[in-house]
Amino acid sequence: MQKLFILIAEDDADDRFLLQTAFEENGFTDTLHFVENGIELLEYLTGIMHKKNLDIQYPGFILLDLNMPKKDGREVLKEIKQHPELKKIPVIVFTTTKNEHEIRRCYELGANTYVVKPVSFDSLVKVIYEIRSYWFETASIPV
Amino acid sequence: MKFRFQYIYTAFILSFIILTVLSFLFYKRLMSTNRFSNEVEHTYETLYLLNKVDSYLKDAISAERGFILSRDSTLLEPYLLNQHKINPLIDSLRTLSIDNARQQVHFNNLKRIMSERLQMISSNINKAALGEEAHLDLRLLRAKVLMNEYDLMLQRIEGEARRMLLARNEQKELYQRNTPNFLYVIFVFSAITFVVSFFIINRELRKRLGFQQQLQQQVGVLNRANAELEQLTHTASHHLQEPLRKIRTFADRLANKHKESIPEETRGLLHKIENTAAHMQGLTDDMAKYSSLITAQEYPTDVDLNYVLLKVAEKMDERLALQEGKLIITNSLPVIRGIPHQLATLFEQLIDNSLKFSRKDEPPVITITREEISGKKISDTVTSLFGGTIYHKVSVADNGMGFSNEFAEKIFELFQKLDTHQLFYQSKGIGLAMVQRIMINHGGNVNATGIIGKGATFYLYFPIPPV
Repeated sequence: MQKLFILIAEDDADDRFLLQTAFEENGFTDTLHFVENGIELLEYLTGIMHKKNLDIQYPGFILLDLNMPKKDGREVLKEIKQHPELKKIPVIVFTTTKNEHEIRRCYELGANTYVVKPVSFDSLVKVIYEIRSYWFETASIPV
Repeated sequence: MKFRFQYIYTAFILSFIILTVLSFLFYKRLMSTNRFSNEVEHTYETLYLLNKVDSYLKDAISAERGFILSRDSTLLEPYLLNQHKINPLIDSLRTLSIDNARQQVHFNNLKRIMSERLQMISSNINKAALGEEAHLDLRLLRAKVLMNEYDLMLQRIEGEARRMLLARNEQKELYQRNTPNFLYVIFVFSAITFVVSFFIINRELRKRLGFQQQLQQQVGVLNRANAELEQLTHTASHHLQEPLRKIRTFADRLANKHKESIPEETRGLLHKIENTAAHMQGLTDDMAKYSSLITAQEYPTDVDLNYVLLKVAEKMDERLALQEGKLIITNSLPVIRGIPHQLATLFEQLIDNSLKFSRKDEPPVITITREEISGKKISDTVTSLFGGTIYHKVSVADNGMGFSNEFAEKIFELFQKLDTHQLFYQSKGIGLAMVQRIMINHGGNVNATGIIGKGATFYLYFPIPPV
């Protein structure tokens, strides 16, 4: 069986760099797959769905930014959580906005967790550690 | 664009008066025609009965004469048959003209003459039957004198009846001649009123329609502008957050990663960058909060302001205690229609404001009072939003630094601060703007007065819905 990997939807190159660094800083060696917008994310997931026989797995969880071009995080979240096959994948909304309405809406759409991007780099490293260890060690996820 | 109602009132009142006059005239006309025809009927009946009385008497007299000449008792038949009908006839004649005193006298006389004459006839017939012929000439002469009197009376009665008929006729004709003139005047007048009111109302409605269209256009323009502004604030408040966060993260990363190699001065500069970015992030945060107060579509429920204030007081308790402050609520607050969390923010911001601007040398005392006030008594600067109804006036007074009244309106503007240097770190200038916005969301408004060095008072006006 293939090793679990993490799918990250993030349009901003700086943020992608910061995330990658945060993972490295924690000493995690998980494969990170980056997509840059909602359409790419859905294409990637349906691609896996069609090639499942070839033993390619779904990501362990998805880190989803809300503000992305073409198709934003809310739309993608809605589509994933309404899809009969894809809805089992845990989705962690990872965004700058801390807004009551936004948070409520994301959970209503089926988000598994809502995390606000921390400001300092140290807290980012810590948050990444917590998310990763929660979903890959504490929690059980569908295979 | 005031619609001139007095035209409608005038037109209505005029029409009503015209209608009333017409109905009154019609009624009067109908009644007089009715009375007149009754009276004519009476007159003709009187004349007819009179005629009958006369013919009965003449029958009796001819029977009397015939019997005296021939002594044939069959000639007496009409007399015997009709003589007792005469008196009841005269009685019914009298009742017919019961309202005419002169006729009453005439009928009394007639009755007297009639009974005298009938008695004469009866005695003459008796005497003739017994063959007594003494004083026949004299008796006949007396009868003739009586008959002259009778004829005179009959003429008078007839004359009176005809005279009355004529008088009534004249009266009626005068009335009938005048009514059409009057009706004509009323008709012309009402036609003019009708046409004039039609044109006035038509013109007013057209004007109104024009205003309405203008208004609709303006509403359309405003809606578009509003939607764009909403988009803009959303962009400003949400999309600005991301680069700001990144500035802070990179500054932090720089400061930490090269902790050893960065000189002290550079570290200070990095700290300044980080602080400034944090401040700006605070501003965009507030902007988002403020814009959500404008765009949020929430439905009001019944809210007990006492409970809201209690919750806010619990939340602020620590800060109050820290500054040794006191919160005094002098009387019970009302229950109003409102949005609970907005009302909580309202009191939170007001108390926060009072605590922020408290004087160093004196612990803050915040007093909250409620009274009822008529909308007309609220000062002009805020009245544009008010109707004439009654308001709950909630005053929040403090003993803090106060402000000069020339800034009484300015303090509610977004990101306005009266004193930039001193309070830079504490205040971003959004609290009071939020207070005003929340009051507007509740159909009311807020104003304030202050005395420098003594304190400030904020007045909240909540409309009381009509029962």
